Amino acid sequence: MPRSPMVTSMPSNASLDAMFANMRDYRSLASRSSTNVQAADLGLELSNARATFKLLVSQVSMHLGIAWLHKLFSQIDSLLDLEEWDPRDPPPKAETARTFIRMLLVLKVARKPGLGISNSGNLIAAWTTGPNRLTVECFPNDRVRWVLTRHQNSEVERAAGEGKIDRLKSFIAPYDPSVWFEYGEQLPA
Amino acid sequence: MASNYLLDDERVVRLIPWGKLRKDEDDNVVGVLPQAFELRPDEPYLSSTWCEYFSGAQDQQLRCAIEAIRNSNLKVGGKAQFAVGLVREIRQLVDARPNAKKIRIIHEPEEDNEAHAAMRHWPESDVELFDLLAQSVWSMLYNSEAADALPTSECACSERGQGK
Repeated sequence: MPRSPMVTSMPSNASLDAMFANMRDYRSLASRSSTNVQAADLGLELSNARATFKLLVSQVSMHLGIAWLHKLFSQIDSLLDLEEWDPRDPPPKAETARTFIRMLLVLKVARKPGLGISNSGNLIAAWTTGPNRLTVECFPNDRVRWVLTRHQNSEVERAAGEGKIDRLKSFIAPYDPSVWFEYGEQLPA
Repeated sequence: MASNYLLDDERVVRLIPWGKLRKDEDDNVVGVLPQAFELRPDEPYLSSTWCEYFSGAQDQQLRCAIEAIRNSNLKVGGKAQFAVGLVREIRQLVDARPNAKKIRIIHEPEEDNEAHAAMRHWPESDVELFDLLAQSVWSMLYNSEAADALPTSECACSERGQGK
């Protein structure tokens, strides 16, 4: 029986081009598919994080009031939106959400913060009243890191620190925190 | 090849994702969070995109830098914004910090962004500095709409971009 030749003939340049084009397609399909899987995983993680955060917020809803609860839910949905999420950031864990909620209760704020996220997936609360800024990153176990800028009597003071929530409360007391936590007459409620 | 250091009067753009934008309680953008300038655990330098890498008028260069970011591997969400900073002001603030190493802002092209600039010796953790940067030198923001309104050009590489 005659052996079939290993190579019957050299492929033409055109067929080589087609082969390489196919390989490129496979590679891009593989990369697309892996990207899709990653996006699906991230989407699920963000969805779980949203649910956990809302559940924790609901548990203290009697202290926050319905209007704030709705606003907070909307902020959570907006922050943890897959379309806007930087895939390099890990979704926030329940521990950072717990610290965030406890901080709101301890500080007894009337004016709500804007929300952000750190590179480590920690929630960030930001209060901004003109040039007066207070930014607090919420770590697990009631730990927070803060930085503030306060304009008072034509002086500008800047400070930063890290510690438990109670320490934050005493730290910011001399800066008249009502500028961040209360609605001024000129500010819309 | 000699390093191409950015000059004091040149500009860099940094992508600020939605989660790093400073917002009020109604999600109106009021600035940038200090954490937008913090290094990630695996980042040896802070990344930015060099405007003057491109030829053309200032606004065209800025538009090209923004397009370079949009065409890179970074995810640019619809609500993300672009912060523009002047090299001199960034350098002055960072170098003035106690125990700071002199920062080096160098053109280091990457596969997905030819105009990439690396800010080396960037402080790892200095939230006060990052807050200052967010408030002052890196506070000029362009949202997607404002970026699209900037004039377009061919985005050719300038002589400066070629290291001349």
